Amino acid sequence: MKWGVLTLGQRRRLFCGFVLLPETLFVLLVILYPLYLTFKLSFFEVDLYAISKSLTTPPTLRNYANMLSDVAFWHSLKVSGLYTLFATPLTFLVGFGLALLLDQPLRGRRVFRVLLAMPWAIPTAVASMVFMVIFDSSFGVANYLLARFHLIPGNIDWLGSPSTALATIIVTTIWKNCPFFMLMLLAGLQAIPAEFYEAARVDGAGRVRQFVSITLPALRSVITISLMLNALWIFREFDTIYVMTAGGPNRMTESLALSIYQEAFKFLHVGRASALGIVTFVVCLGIVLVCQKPLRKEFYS
Amino acid sequence: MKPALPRHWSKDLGPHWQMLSIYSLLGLAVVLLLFPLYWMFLIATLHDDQLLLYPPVFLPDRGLFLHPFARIFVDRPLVQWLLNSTYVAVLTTVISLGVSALGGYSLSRIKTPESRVMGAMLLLVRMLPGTLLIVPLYIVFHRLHLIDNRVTLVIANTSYIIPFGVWMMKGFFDGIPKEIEESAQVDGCTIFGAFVRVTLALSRPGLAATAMYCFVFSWGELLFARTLINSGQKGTITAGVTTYIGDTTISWNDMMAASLLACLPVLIIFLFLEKHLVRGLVAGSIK
Repeated sequence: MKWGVLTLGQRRRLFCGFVLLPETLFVLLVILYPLYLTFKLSFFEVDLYAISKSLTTPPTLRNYANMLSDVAFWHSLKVSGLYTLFATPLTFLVGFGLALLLDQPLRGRRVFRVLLAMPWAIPTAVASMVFMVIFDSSFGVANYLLARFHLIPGNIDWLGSPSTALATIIVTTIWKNCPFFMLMLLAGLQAIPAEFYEAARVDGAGRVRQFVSITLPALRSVITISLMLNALWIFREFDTIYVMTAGGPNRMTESLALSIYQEAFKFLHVGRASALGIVTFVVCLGIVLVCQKPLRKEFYS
Repeated sequence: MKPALPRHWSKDLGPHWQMLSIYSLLGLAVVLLLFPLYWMFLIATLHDDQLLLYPPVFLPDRGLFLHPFARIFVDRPLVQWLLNSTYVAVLTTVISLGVSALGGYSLSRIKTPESRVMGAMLLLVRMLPGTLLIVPLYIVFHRLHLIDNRVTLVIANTSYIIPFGVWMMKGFFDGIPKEIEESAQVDGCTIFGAFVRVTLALSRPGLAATAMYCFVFSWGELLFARTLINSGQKGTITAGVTTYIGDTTISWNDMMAASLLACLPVLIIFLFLEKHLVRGLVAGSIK
């Protein structure tokens, strides 16, 4: 069949199918195949040095059994859960607050927006190092300022003591992640037609009323999606924890993401790391399923 | 005698107070959010004997001390790292942008069951944690003898970016009526020509936003960069600066100088392209 014989519509469709190829290749080779490999390896007890050989042992459920009976696994699940549960809503609230401020008719709004969005561009590892310096136990400026305003009694070893390490990581996460949600929500706010607010004002609705009856409903799907993305990102966050505490002190901040890395590249237990990976995947899948409806609307509309 | 206040001040005190509080809240937010960046800059330019003072020094009152910036280049292969990062980030951006634009176009224009499956797959893929992919990717690249190769990093980063990139570009193309490109085709443009000259040309802000996302991501990426590259010479700057952690021979000003260097290129790009990001997000995430 020659190209010339096809109708324009057929040619268009062929073109659309053709340009989808590179993406399909990438998804299959670099994403779905590795995912399949993880699933497979989670049933074998292999170590990282033996991975180039073929698997000779029969598949086993031992990785999963070991994992489920391991206190450290439940602990890391708890750490990931706590981290996500605290950091997600807080990051979201900060981002939403900033977006609402920036949505006002201001002079120099663009300058404010650029300045407030800057943390997004900073590499997470660099941000984490700066926060390590700020929260240093003896010479950190955080201790100085907080003590100066009598908010803490004495110097705190923020990253070294079990009760504050995760909180410090959460603060860093909020700083690094809030700009993206600010921008996303700001985009949502600016898509709301001004006539809605005018009509509400004519009807005598106050600011709070306008916020509850117009802003929130209009932003519903953006809010769900940004909360979901945020939760997923934070649940699998690696860089911040790896740089700031490497899981310490005393494994208090060892999240699932970090234990996968440790199992695979420190203890070389590829099978166990894969089993942990599958658990992470299932949890993330759960988060997505909760938010399925707005997601569908968003992707297929 | 006190000068009289402008009359509308007393009449219209409400909105003025409101604007004032909004500005002061914004000012406070700027101070809080930019403080860590200021602190990085400050520490990087302090004299060696000012580092461990308590109370800490808040202003570079003895002038900027630039020795750290000279020392760090002697101490570690920073130039090489910066070049590696540039190589990885630019190549990742070009490839990801191409693949995302083509894929996003296709998903935006055909609504068949297959493209829906692809869309669902992308959604699924978006939630895969990097830590989940790193183990199998390491194994695959190990078998291909591609560990310690910068191209590996480009492929890994691209795989991570594509789902988001396609999604963002699809949103942009959805906003461009297909009648425009169809009329170009009727006027004698080839389908590909119409795609490049009409559709892509109209979605330049979307391309800019996606490109910036790709660049920022691959510049700051740490997990792949640390595991897929083993030798110090071939690493990226982001992975490189993390080698300062726990190194007791390194002083804070050197560490912060290197950190500053690691984020300057990406900050500059950000400042140039920031305005497109919001537009890209409007198109990509809101409908």
